[in-house]
Amino acid sequence: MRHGSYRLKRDIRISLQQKTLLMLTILLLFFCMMFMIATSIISKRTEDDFKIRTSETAVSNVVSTIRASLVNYKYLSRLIMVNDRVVSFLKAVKTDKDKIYEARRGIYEIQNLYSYIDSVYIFRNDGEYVSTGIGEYFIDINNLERSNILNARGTTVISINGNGTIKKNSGMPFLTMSRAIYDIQSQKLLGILIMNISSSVFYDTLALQKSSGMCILDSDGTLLCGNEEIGALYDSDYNSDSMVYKNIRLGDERKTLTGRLAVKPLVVLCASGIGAEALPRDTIYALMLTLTAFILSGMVCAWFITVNIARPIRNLSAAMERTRSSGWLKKFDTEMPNNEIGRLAESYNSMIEYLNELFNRQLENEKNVQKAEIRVLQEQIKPHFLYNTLETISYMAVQENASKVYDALETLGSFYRNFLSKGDREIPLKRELRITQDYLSLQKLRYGNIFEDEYLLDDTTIDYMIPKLILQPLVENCIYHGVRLKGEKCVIRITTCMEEDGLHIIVYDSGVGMSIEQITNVLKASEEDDVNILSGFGLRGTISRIRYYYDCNDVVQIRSEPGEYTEIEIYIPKMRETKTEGEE
Amino acid sequence: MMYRVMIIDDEMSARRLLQASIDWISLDMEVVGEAASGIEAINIIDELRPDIVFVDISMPFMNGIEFTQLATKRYPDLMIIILTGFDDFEYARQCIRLQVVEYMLKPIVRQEVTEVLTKIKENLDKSNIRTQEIGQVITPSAIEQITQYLRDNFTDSNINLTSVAQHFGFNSSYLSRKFKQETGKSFVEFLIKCRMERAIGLAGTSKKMFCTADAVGIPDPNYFGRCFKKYMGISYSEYVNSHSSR
Repeated sequence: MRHGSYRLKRDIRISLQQKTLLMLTILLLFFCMMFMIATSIISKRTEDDFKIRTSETAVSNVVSTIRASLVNYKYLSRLIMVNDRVVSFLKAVKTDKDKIYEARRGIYEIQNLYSYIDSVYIFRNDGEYVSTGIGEYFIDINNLERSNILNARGTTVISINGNGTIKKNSGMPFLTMSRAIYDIQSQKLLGILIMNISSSVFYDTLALQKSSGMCILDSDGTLLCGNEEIGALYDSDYNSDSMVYKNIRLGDERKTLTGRLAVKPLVVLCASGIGAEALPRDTIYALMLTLTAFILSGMVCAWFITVNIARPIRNLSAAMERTRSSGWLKKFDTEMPNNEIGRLAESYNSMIEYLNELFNRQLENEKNVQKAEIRVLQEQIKPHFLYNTLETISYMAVQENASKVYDALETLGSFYRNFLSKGDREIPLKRELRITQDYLSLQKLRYGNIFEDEYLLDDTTIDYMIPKLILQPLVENCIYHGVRLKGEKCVIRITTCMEEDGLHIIVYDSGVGMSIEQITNVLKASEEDDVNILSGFGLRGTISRIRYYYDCNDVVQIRSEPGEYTEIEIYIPKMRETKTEGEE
Repeated sequence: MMYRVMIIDDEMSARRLLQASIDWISLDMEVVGEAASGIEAINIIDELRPDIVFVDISMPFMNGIEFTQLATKRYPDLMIIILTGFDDFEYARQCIRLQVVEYMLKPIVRQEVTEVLTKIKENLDKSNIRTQEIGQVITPSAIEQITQYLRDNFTDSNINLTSVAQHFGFNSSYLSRKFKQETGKSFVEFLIKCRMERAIGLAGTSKKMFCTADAVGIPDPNYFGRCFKKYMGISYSEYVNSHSSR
């Protein structure tokens, strides 16, 4: 029932467990990646929103500051307008130096309250004018936007660089605030006031916003102050009373440009860009927690699959492998979980059981067939007929007083009784000796006294169980191949002794002996030839039988001196001593 | 006193050989009789009163096992030696259950038989002090009852002196003595007479001998034939012939 030669075709490259773990790892990595991407998208979005909000705030702040300061300057311009010295300059029919000087002093008094006012011009209707900050500015008197200012009917008109009609020597842009002056009583037009305010008035405002990406410009794109690059990105869409957002590229960066009209025509622009706080911490914690939960659940999943599926299957597979490699159809008793895998193991075990049952049944059948065949053979021999006939002839011999004949018949009867005894494969040594003695007695009758038989028996050996008919063939071999060929009286001696490893039986004959070649031939042939087990009862067959019976080659030794003696020693290993006759 | 030996075997040569080959005298034994079947043995064993019995297993009508079953019940002191040609474990097992003294294989070897008999002799010597219980007194009316019992039951082939004695609770040798005193015939003679009278009746109807034998309680026709001839002086077939020709 050995199947050692059977090989499995499949070698497992990646175990189920490894596969499961691999898949879960990939899944986890995928999750992590998705998490990263999502986080970065959300954080970018949040950052952008934050930047826009920041820009928006900055723009709004600047806008309100501009408005507030313009209100102040408007108020200031009014103070200048109503100054008596200025009014008297305007109302005077004819101007003179004093009046101009007085007017200038009056302007200075007020102008000096605000350091950012660079220059103030007051034009009379006849073109005479008084100004402060002479020399710094160049004013194109003829091209003054007189109509624009007059159309405003006394409200301030704000422009940058007087819409190009005024220039500063330094080239720096500035804010021009113009308005028409009317007589308070008569409401007659008296003249025009032009106030140039330095652009540095807004520097502080912009600086306060801590943003480098801001600028203030005219609605036609003329930069008043702030970042020139940003100013260059202006378009007329920002000339609006509500906040306008546009995505722009500034250098390599994508930014949002926010802007709105502050006071006509001033526009405030702000590019987002301060990379401040992106995501609130709570959100990050929540996301981290989610990720951890994912990883944990992945691990739990892996553990679950490993413990409940992969490991039991691996154990099952290992147990089956052990069974397979042992080469025996054995059930395994590895503990299996109480589920489909357990049932798989059970099915396997019951299959093994069934197979074993089949084998045993087959074996039993073959044994029965063999027994039946042996019975048929023995039936053919008809021992009863033989025995009864022998007894009848024996009685005749006794009647005739032929005691020698009776002796021979009795020996023959005894021999066949033991020789043909059915069933047992093993018999006690004493019975085998009985067979051998009877055989030798009968052979002596045939051939006369050509040999003497001697027995040196160890008393402890006579009940030892040995395979049936192993001694008699050896003795037969002595007579036919040793004693008879010598032609003189020989000795056949059987010695038994008990050694530690088992029973030793030595059959000695002083016959013609055997050559070394003959000995090796006999030993080799019986080693190779299986047919001898079935056919031969000669020396070779007997040796084969003992070897086969004890599954051991080292059971026979032959010693001989040609012309002198042959000694065959057989050794029956200790193992079946306890087995009693008739048990089989 | 010598020990009495009886040999039961359907093979005449086997019986004779055993008788002739063993040195009985030196064993302090004598062969007092033989039987060719279990049936014959049951009928004559009370007269022979053996101490030792050799029984062959394979015999017709009543084999050695059946005989041994009866005999161990009726004669608890009897030493029974089974002889068999079967070297068969099943027989050996049955014999062990029957508490047979010895189980010997045929063909016999003198040495083996002698050894076994020596051992048995030793055992018999030890248990030799046998007390003979007389049992209850046998009255003539009891004998009357027994003769009636025999007339009613003689067709039972297993019946014999000892079985009847046991049935009525008497000592068998005392019964034997008393029976002869009262009836003038021995127990066996009386039983044979009953059976033969019935047999003569059946012979008148030209019934085949083996059928008659079976019908009168001696199913072994050989033994029946001998009994018939001894009783009538002529054989059964002669009787049938003469009767039908008349």
